[in-house]
Amino acid sequence: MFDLERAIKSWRSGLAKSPSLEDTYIAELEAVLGDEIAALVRGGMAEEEAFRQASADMGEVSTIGDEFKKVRRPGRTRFMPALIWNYLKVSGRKLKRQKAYSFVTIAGLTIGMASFLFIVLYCRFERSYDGFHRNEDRLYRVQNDRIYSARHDRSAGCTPGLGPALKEEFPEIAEFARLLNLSADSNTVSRTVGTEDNSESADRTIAFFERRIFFADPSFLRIFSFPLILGDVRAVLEEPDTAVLTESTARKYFRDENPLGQTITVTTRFGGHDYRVFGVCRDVPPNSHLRFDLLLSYRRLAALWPSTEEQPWSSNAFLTYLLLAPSVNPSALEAKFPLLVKKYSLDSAELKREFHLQPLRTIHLTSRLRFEPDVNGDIKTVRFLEIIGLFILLIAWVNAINLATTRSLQRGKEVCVRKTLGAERRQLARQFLLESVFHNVLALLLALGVVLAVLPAFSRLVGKPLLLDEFGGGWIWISLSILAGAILSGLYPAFVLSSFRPALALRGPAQGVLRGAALRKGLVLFQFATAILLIASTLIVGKQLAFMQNQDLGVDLDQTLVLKIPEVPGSDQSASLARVQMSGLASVRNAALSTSVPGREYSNAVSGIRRQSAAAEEAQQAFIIDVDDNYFQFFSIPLVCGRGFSRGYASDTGAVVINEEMVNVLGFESAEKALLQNVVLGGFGGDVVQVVGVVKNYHHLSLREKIEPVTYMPLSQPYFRRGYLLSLRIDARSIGVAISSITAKWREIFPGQPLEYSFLDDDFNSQYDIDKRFGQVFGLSSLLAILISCLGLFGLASFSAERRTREIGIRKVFGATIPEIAAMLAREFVQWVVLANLIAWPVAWVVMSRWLQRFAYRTTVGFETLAGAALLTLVIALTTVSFKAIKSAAANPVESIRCE
Amino acid sequence: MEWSSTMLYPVLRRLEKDGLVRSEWRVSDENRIRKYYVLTAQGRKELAAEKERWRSVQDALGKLWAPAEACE
Repeated sequence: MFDLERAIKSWRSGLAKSPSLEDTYIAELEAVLGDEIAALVRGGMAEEEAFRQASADMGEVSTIGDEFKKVRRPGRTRFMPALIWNYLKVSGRKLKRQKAYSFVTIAGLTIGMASFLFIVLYCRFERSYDGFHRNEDRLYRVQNDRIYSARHDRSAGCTPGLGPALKEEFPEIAEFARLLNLSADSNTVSRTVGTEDNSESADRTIAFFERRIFFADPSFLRIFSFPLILGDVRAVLEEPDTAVLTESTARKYFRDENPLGQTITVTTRFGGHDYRVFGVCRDVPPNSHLRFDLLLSYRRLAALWPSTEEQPWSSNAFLTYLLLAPSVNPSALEAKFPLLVKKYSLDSAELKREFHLQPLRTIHLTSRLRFEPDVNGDIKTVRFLEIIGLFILLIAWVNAINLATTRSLQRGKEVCVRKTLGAERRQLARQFLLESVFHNVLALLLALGVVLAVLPAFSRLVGKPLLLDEFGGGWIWISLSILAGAILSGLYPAFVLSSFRPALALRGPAQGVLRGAALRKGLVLFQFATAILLIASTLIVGKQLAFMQNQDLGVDLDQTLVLKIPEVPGSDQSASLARVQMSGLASVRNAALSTSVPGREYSNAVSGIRRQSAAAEEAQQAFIIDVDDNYFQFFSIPLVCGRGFSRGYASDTGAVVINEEMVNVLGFESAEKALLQNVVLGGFGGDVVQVVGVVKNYHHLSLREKIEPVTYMPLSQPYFRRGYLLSLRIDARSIGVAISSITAKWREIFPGQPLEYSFLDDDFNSQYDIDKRFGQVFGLSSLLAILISCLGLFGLASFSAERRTREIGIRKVFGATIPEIAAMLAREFVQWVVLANLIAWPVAWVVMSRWLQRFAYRTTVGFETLAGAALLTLVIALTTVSFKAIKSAAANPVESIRCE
Repeated sequence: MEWSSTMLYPVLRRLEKDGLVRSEWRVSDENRIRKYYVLTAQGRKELAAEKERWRSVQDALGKLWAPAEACE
C-alpha cells in the first residue's frame, strides 16, 4: 500500500543530503510538491502516480541542489578557462581589424616600456658601483676635512701617516690600504724586448702612456676583490720593486708571453724605475669607483719620496681605505676619530682636521671630494632619471587607458551582444583585463627586442657598458610591476566597458562612454603637463650647455695642440728643448710650457698661503700652476698690473704671479696693492715669494666650478713638478702638415717615446661631456614622452571627431567652413595644453632652478624658455590633432549625416 | 540542460536577496503552507527597465534580420 507521507519524507531526506539546500528551501520545495500532488489527485490521478509525476517535474535532486548553490554564492560566476582562448582569439582579431588603434596602443606601450627599461638599466648600473667586493659592507674610505677660517676643504686624499695610525689606535679597524694616485698624462711604461736570445735584431721598446697608475699597500689586493689571475695575493706588492698589471695592460706589453717576473720601466714624476711584474689581476670592472691599470708597491715610495716617512702628517694625497672588523658600527668608530686628532696634535692654529668614513658603495654616487680618483656619478641625476622613467611608463599606460575607453564606441556593441547572450559583468571585465594584459605582454616582448637592438647605441650614448644581465634578479620585479601596471591600466577600461547597458549602448554610440570624460581629461592633462615639464627641462639643459660653451673663458684656446712631455730622465731639458725646437717649425706660431693648461686640473694646491704680514691663522688655500715665461702671452691672459715671468729677471726664481681671485683671498685691497708684496707659501716649507704680477681671472676649469685663487710659479721652481704639457699654436690652414712635422720633430727629441696630442678646445669642452650626455638622455626621454603623448592625442582626436561626425556634417550644411570646424575640434585640446602649462610651469621652475644650482656660472630658467616649451607643445599637439580634425572637417556632409 | 519547475525557486531567492521581491509564508484554505512572493517597488522599476531593454534588443535584432531599409 502506497504511503504518501512516507514517500514525501523520503524525497525530502534525499534533498537534505545536498549541502546547498537549507531547511527553509526544502520546506518551500516540499510545499510546492504537496500542492502539485494535491492538484493532480484532484484531477483524478492516484496518489502514487501523482507523487511520481510531481517529483519528476521538480527535477533531479542533484540538479535542484546545483541551482540553489548559485544562489548561495550570489554573483560569483565560475571562472571558465575555456573562455580564455576565446578572449585571446578576440584580442587577436581586434589586433588585425583595428590596425590603427592596435598600433597606436602597442607602439605607445612599447616605447614607454623600452624607455623605462633603458633608464632602469642605466640607473641600476650606476647604483651597482663597488658592489662586487666581497667585503663591500665593511669597506670604507676616509674623508679628510681641513677646516680653515674661510674655507672647508673636503678631500679624499689623506696624509700617509693616517692609515697606520688609525689601525694602531682602533682595534675596530681590521686592515687599511693606502693608494697614491700617480695618474698623470705624462706617465709612461715601457718594456724592452728582443735582446736576450736574438742578438741580431736591435732592441725594441714597447712604450705607452699609462694614465691610471697607483702606488698601493700590499693589503690593497687582499681587502678588495680584484682577483689575481697570475701571482700570489699574499706575496704581491710586498717587495719594493714589484708591480701588478691588469689583464689588458699585461696583454698590451707582453702579448701571449707570461709576464710574471718580467721587468717593466715605469716613468712617473718620481723618475724612471724598473719594476718586476709579480701579479696580473682581472681588469677592473666598469662599475668600480677606483680604476687602475697598474699598481706599484707602496714600499718603493719611501725611497722615492722620503718625506712620506719623515713627515707622515703632510701631503694630503693618499687615498686611505679601511676594512672594519665584522659588526663594527661605523658611526661609533667615527665618533672616536677626534681622539686621534688630539693624540697626534693634528689641529693647528690655522686649521682643524676632521675625519669621516665613507661607505664604499656610496662613493660613486654621493662623493664629490677633491682628489677623487675618477669622475663620480651623481645620485640626483640617477633619481631624476628614475622619476622620468616612471613618468614615461605612466604616460604610456595613461595612453592605453584613454585609447581603450575611447574605443568603446566599437566595443559597446560587442559588450551588448555578449551580455544579451548571458555574459556577466565580471566575465566581461575579465575579458577586457585579459586584453589589456595581452597588449602589455606583447609590448613588453617588443620592448625587449628594441632594448636588445638599441642597447649598444644606448651604451655609447651614456658612456657606460650596459648589459641586459644588469637586471639580475630584478627581472622578476620588473615583470611583476609591468604586469601590475597592465592590470591597473586595464581595470578602468574594463570597468567602464563592462558597465554598458545593452539597451543603451545598442541604441546609440556615445552613451556611457561620456561618463569617463572627467577622468580621461585628467589623464590627458597629466600627459601634457609631463610633456611640457620634460620639454622645458630639455630646453633649460640645452640653454645651460650653450651658456657654458659660449661664455667668454677669458683665455684663448683656439688652434692649440697640447702634447704631453714624457717623464724620461732629463725631461726638464728635453721639455725646454722641445719648446724651442717646436716653435721653430714653420707651421707652429707659438709655444708654451706649463704643468697645467685650461681644462685640466691644477698642478698642485698649497694649504697655507698668506701675506707675510698676516697671522698664521689667516692662511688660505690656493692652487698652483707652474708656467714658463710665455704662458700668459700664449693664452692671451691679460695682466692687470705688474709683469709676467721673464728670463731677463734673475730673481724670478722667488717670484709668483697671482690671479685676481687670489688677490681677494689674500686680503689685498687691489691688484696694485698686492704688487711686490711678499707671500708665505705654507705647504712649501714656509718659503717667502714675491708677487710680481696680477693676471685677470679666467676660467681654468669648466663653468661648473667657480674661479679659484691661483698662484702661478715660474717653471724653473724646483718645488714640485707634475709633468709638462707643451702647448703649440698651429696654423689653422695646415693642420695636417703641422702634425706631421711635429711628429717628426718629436721622434728626434724623444726617441721611442709615444706621442699623444689633443686639441685644447676639444679637451676643454670634454669637461661638459657628462652634462651633454645628461642633456642627450634627457632630450631623448622627452622626445619619447612627447611621441607617446602624441599617439594618445591622435587617438583622442580621432575619437572626438568620430563622436561629432554628425554635428560636423550639420554645421557644414549650415555653412561652416573647414577651418572653422577644424578650429572647433582643436579648441578642446588647446584648452588642455593651456591648463597643463599652468601645472607644469611652477614645477619646471622649481626643479630646474635647483638643477642649475650645481653650476657656479649658470643661466636662468627664464620665462622665454617656459613659453618656448608651451609653444612647442601647442604646435605638436595642434599638428597631431589637426591632422584628424581637417580630415573630418573636409569630409562630405552627406556621408556624415547619413546614418552609419 | 533540462528545465524543471524547481529552477524557478533559486531565481526567486536571488531576486529576494537583491530586494526585488518580498516573500511570506501563508496557510492556504486547504490548510497547506505556501510561500507567496510580491514585487517590491524596486522590483517594479527593474522590471520596467528590463522590459524596455529587452524591447530595444528585440528592435535592434529585428532591424538586423529585416531586409536593409533606408534610414528614417
